[in-house]
Amino acid sequence: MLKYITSDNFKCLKDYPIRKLVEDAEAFGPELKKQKLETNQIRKFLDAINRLKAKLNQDDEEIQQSQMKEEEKEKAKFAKIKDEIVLLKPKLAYAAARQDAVKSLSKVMSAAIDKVYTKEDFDRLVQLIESIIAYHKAEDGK
Amino acid sequence: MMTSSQVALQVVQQAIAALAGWADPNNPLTSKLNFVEEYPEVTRAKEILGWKKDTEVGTLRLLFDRVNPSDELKQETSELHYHPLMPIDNDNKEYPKIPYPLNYEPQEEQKAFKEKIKKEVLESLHENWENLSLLMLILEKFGSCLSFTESDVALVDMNRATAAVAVALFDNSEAENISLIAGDLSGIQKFIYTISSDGALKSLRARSFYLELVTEEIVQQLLEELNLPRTSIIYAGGGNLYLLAAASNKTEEKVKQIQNEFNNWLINKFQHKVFLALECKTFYTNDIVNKNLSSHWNEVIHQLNKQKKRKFYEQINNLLAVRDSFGDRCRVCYRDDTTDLEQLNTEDDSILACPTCREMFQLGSQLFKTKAVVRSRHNNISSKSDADYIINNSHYFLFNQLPTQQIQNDETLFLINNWKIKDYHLPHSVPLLLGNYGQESFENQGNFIRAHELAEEAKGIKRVGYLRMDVDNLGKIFAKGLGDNHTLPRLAGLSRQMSYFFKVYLNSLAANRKDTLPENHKILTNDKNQKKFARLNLLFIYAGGDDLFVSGSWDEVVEFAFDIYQSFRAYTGHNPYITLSGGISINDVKYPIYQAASDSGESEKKAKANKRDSLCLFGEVFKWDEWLGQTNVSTDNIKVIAESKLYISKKEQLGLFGILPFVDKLFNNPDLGYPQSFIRNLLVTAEIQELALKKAKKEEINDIKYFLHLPKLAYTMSKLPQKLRSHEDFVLIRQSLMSPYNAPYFPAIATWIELLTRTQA
Repeated sequence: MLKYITSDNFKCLKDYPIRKLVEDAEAFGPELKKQKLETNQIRKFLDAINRLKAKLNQDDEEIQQSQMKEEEKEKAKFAKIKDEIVLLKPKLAYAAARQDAVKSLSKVMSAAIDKVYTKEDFDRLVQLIESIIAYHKAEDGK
Repeated sequence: MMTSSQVALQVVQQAIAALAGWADPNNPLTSKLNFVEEYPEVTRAKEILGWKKDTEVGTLRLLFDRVNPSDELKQETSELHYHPLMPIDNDNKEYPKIPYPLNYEPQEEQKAFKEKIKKEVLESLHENWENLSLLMLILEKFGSCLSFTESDVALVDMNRATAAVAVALFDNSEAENISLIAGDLSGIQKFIYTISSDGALKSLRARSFYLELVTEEIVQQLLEELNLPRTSIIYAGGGNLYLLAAASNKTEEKVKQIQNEFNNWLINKFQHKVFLALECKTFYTNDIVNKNLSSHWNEVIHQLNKQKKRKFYEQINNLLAVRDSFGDRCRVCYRDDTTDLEQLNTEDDSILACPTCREMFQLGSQLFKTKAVVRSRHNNISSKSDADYIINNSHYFLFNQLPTQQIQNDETLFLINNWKIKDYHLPHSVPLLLGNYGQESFENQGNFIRAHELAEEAKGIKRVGYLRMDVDNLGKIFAKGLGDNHTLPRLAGLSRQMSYFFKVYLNSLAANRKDTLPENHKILTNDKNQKKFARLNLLFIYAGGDDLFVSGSWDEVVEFAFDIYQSFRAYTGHNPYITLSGGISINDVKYPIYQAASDSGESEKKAKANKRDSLCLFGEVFKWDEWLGQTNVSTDNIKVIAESKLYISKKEQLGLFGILPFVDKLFNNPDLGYPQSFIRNLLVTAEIQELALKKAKKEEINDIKYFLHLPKLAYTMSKLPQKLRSHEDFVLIRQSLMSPYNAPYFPAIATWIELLTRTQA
């Protein structure tokens, strides 16, 4: 998965095909389980993702009432969280430094974050982490 | 003087003699006929239709096997089917058994069937030899499963066609031309489905029954004015009619005259909502038995459609006249041109309604018990009935049991869904076939069940279901389905058998599920739960011709839809070109019925738009094969998912495929004991998927449809209790649900179960 994300197959994360993403996550989730990754080890990272997701979907009165076109509104909203996305990386690095089990996830997600430029890319990032975590958790119940 | 009825009678007697000769070669009828001189009209009609002196009765091949309206050769080389040898009878039951076709020619069964004919028919023939309506009933009852002249032409259809042609040649046996009269009552939907009021269900039923009587009255007047016996009717029902008559100016004049009279009456009664189109087409008599018949038929339908585009053209002055408009409207049909508004029923808070709507409401209350109807041109008939409805100057009297008095010569006795020979000894007795099953009210016996009772009887959520369904491509099937075999007897046979399904056998299927489901059927509720298995809480609003509108407890309506589809496919020999599409809407009791009718109609349209052969339910549209599903099947063997196969492009073995098998495994397995949250999680996942699909770019749609939900499903299922996850059945459900091939179905599966298990209203 890491290889695929870091490759030149696509420049923006939104071009990561959903089918491929799901199939990769299906293999990667159980892999992380084997490496003894626990979700509480990355709790801060997941919380941060969820916060950004919420922020992005929040209605911003200032933007809503402006004269901008729909497209521009989306952009303006995304601009507000853009910097914070980059700040996700240190969170992962910190967790990886403390726990070896976090290392491979950290590498994959960092590579993915590097390819987030627009709201659509971010949406795909959320789908990616949610799919990996879902398959990781599903390993418990097998 | 010879009459046209005598001509018809002679044909019918000869057909009966052929039937008798088959059942018992030693019976005296054949020789009896040898001393009668044949009318020249009969001789010519028989000649045209290929009925020879030595023509014999035989077993009957299924006419549906022949139907192919497409331009290519038939997709599947389907097996040959035969009619089972059984009379249409309801002697010891309310409705007849459904004659599912056999895949072999019945041989050994013949002896018993012949015995039956000997016992039930031959013995009583002698004293009824001149009773045309009784002989006709016998032919319909016993001659619907036997062939005559050709292996796929039924005796009854050959008899009717020959009699119709002979009568059309009356007094002019060498006539070059013959006339086809076709009629169509349009606006029926507007009249039936646009009302809103209490007791609307029974009023709707009354309206559809009333229109059946209007159709019948048009036929009656045509028969009377043109001096034709009933054998001249090719088809009549549900607002459509086809008759054969002599080609003459008189025929055309009478047809015009009757149309005008009726439209004047219809304007008065229904304020331009219902319109009668009536046409007459003349063609070569010999075309009755060749391919040209199809183009004549299409031509006359085309003419009807043209008339429908300029409704009430003849009544243009009336149409343009200044109409009264009073402030107060009828609260049922919203007309405002009458001040004659009165309370609809005796309850204190009853709404105000116009005379027509009050009449329909009253009719609705009488229909449940009605067994017979007498039509008379005057109102002093010998058997009195307090229910008298006037249709264009004719009286229709309703009876809860067969009238005991002799009916007069100019009267007709209609027996509703009655196939008992003994009840037809009175002359002018005619069967009136109606798709009219209806559960009795629990609260108010002797009446139809009310909407709130239907909701109360439902499993899970307390809702009423409305189902609309009709045959796909019916026009095409009739126009070109028979190809080179397009002859009058076959055409008559096709429409007879099609409408039998909706008028006769749909009742049987509704009332007696246990004995009427076809072999290898798939059902949700098994007979361990006898009450729910019987799914009797249905009320037909209309069924006939090629379509139906049925209400009921929502869960039972859903199962009934699945039953109808499977039954119809079996009945038509699983011909790939003869399919049904349907739509179901599920509503609160208070939801206005005209809206429910329009919603289920919209759903049906969506099903048609899905290349037909489909059902729209819970807002989801799938092919029937997807709703019915399969178990333990390789994706290679599932035809219906050609598109998914193209995209997913890997072969899989599926424990469960489609919708019904999942609902069955999840719902009928109490020891699985999954928490309610599992179904809710499925629904949440479905919502997320739907949202993603709305925003999706075109190239992402398939990815989202088949894959995006899989991680969530995997997670949801992993959270379930260990005991459940290790259950053999659940392993099967889990594996199958995780296949992208089943991706389109989980929202429908979850919704179905959710509604079935919802405890509060």
